[in-house]
Amino acid sequence: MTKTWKMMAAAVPFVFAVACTDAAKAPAEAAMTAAGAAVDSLKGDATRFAPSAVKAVEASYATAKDLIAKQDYKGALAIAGDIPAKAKEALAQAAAAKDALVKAWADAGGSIPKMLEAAKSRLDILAQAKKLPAGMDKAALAKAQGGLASLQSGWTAASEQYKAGDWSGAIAKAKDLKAQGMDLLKSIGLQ
Amino acid sequence: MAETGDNEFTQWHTVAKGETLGKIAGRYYGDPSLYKKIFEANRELIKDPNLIQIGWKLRIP
Repeated sequence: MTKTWKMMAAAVPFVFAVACTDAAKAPAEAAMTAAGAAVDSLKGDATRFAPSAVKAVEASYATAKDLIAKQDYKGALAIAGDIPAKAKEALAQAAAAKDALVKAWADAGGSIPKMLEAAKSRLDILAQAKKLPAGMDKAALAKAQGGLASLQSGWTAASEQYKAGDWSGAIAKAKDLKAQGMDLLKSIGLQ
Repeated sequence: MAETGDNEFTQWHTVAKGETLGKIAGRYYGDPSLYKKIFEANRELIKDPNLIQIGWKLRIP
């Protein structure tokens, strides 16, 4: 009898541990399913516009998978349970970053065609002038015409860069072109 | 005043006493004979290039 009791007493922690593990297994697996779907939702814009946030979510998911493999269901549940919310935050962060880039492109690039058109119109007229306005000579006019050609090709390149998906690069180029364009306008008396 | 095509880069000139289109063209282009450029750009306002009024806001292309 004593021996039986001793055996039972020895088995209690094991049975208890198994019971606890099993209790956490189903919720952990459900949480992993939801976490997997949340990670899948991050493909596309989120990966492009909020890469750090996406990597953090993916890292959490990988950790949770490791814990599942080690049968640490409680640990996996704790991590996987937070993943859908983190994924939602990453999606919101990506949407905000995308909006900011679209706005930056519109701000930087939206006025460049008009600026180039104004510069071309003035330079075409100045090219017909028998005498140039005060402060301008033929060399300055030629320099301005060259500057305009350079800006036009730069703008074509920036637009292609944007279309190709390099938004940040295109925005940086457009900002630079706009600054150069403003200098050009000043040089021909348009600003 | 603003019309289609006018934008932040459109240059404007307000006609002052004694000015003619030729004088204005001379100021902006260096060549008074180019006054027609200003005339053409302001056809909705200027009917006769020899008759412009003080205070008119002209587009300088």
